[in-house]
Amino acid sequence: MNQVEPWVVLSFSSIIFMIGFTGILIRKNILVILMCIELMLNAVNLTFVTYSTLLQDMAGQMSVFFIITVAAAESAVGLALVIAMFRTLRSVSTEEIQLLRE
Amino acid sequence: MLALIALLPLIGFAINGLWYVAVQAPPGGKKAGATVSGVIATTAIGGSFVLSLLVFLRLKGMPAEARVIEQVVFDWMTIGDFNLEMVFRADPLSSIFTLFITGVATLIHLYSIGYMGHDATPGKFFAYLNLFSFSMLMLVLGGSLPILFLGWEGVGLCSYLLIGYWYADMDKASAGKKAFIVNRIGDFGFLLGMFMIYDKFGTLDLLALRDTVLQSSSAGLLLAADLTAITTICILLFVGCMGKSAQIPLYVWLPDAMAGPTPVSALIHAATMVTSGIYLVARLNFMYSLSPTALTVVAVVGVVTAFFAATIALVQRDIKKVLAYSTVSQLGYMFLGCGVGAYSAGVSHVITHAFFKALLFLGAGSVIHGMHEEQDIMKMGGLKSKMKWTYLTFAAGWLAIAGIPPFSGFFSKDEILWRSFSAEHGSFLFWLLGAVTAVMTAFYMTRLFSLTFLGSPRFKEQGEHHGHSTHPDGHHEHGHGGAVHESPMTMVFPLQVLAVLSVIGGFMAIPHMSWLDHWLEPVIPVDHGVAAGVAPAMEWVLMALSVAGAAAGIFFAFKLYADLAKVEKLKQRWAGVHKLLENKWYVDELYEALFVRPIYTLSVALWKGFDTAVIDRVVLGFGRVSEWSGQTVRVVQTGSIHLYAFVLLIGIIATAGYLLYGLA
Repeated sequence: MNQVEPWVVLSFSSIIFMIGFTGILIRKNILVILMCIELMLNAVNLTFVTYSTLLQDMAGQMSVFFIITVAAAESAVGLALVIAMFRTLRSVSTEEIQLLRE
Repeated sequence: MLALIALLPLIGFAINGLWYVAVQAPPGGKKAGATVSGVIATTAIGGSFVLSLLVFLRLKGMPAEARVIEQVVFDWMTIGDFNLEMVFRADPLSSIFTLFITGVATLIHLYSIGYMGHDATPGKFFAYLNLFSFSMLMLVLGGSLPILFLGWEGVGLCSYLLIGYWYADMDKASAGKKAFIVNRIGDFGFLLGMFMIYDKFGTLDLLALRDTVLQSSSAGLLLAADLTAITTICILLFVGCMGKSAQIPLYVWLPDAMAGPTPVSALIHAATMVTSGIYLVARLNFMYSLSPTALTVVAVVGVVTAFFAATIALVQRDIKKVLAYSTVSQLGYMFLGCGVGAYSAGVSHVITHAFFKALLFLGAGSVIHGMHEEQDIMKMGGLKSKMKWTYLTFAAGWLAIAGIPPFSGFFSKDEILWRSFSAEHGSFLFWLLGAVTAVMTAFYMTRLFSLTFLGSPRFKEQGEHHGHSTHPDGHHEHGHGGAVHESPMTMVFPLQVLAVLSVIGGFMAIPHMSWLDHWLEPVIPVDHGVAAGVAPAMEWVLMALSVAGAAAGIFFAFKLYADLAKVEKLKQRWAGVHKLLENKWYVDELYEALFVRPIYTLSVALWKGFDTAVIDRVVLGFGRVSEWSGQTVRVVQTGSIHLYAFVLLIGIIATAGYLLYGLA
């Protein structure tokens, strides 16, 4: 079976990571920001797996499992927060929710 | 049993105090009557009296040299090899003190039930009174100097609390403050003396100290340096006595202390607390006897105080002020006695003085009570028929203090006068000043007596003869009308008992066959030595002279104050002297200018110049700096998570760049 070259996979994951980060910087909708965070986490996962195979070290794959678990918990809490926020503030836009400024 | 003597009043204090704090003081709390609180307090101190009597009898049953009962209650503290026990010890001296303290205190507690009948917070009053008794008993029963000092401070505190008892009146509150501060000045001397004793002799226990000092002095081990140290110790301790026993220059608080309720003046500021200085000197007589210099200081201060205070008492118009200055003067006598080495004569005057001065104060209280808070003797007169018992008992006190035989004051005062002349440390000058003081004492007491009880009334019966705004002595709600009346039985009974004691009290110390001297012998060595060149027959001559002097003083006072117009004329002729005496030699003004003003000015300068200008500025400066920096930095906080994330990105890139490539 043909192995994919590592640099292809690494470039791909970097691109996904940058897409995610750019999304956080420019999107106003919190829901979308949460999705972007997922994107970044999965890009990191891909990097971990790649290096794990490359270096023949299982620690990388261990980290991936951790990240998947934490990401699941994070998105559950995050979504709950978004719902609570929408109920009280009637909005999910970061433009309108800047309470820390006061 | 010993500890219980002191403990009983403490229990009384706890009951009355807790009851007052928990139940009576809170808003809407149920007020207790004077009777209930008073009975609790009187029972407590009465129990102490019974116990003191038992202790006294037990001591009496012992052989003379072994008359010591000791009780160690607990170990107070141990620091290195310094161990301090809570030790109570009764010997002839302290047992005689506990006897008259508890006896007089019981009578005064009883009297207070009637006197404080109209007071708003009798629970508090009786709690303080019991706390005072506890402290005083600890002072005389304490077996070591720190325990004694505990009592010493305790009585000072209670004195402060009770002088300022009616603290809503600013004058009374500041009189309490004055007493406390002046006493603290004296305590400073006491403390220093105590430290020096520990440094020099390595013990603070009174019995051990006595043994150490006596042994080393009889073995001739005391060097000149040691004697100098003993002199310093004695004088420092005497400074404490000056404060507590109101001697020049620290006597100024006692006349002002009359702001307190009259039973307090009788108990604390006449009969007991002020005599603790004499107790201390008598207790440490083995040290004072080693230092002629210290003795001379004691005697000179005593006799000058006696004389000086008597001159002031001549012209005062406030009945309690006259008695206050007379107390200062009598305390001077006691120190004169101690100062010439006649400690037991001093102690016997302490006891007789406790009887007759408590009697006089309580009598004055009865007069004040009956006259509805009038204290100016110029506005009294003719009370003889209206207050029969007060009149009769007061007469006993008056004759006792004037030194008319066979009343108690005669024996003790005359012994002091004789010893001040004949003792080794005595001198003719001491006797002369003392005798002149005795004549003045007879004069001003007769003046007081005559103006109060004899002649015709100088007040309007009934109605508003006493302006409500000028109530000099506290309680304001007198339910009954303006008629002058005899006091209730609880007040008259103590007067009667004290009157009997004032009459017969002197017989325990008849010169040459004094039971008291003999009783005190284990503590105070008897020394009837007469200095060379003094004929023993002089004693009778001097005695006759002093009685004649007292009689003359009484006679002239009667003659003068029978006709007030003549007094007025005399006052005009001697206006300058009269004014000087009436204003108490301007000593208060002098102290005001010398000490109070400068300290006050300094305090204000420090307050405005340092506290406000420097410390406050620094502290406020910290506040301003943090406020300013907060204002400055808050613009960074935009609340936009996009910006935060962007800054985070820059930070990551910078960190990564630094880690990978370094600063270059």
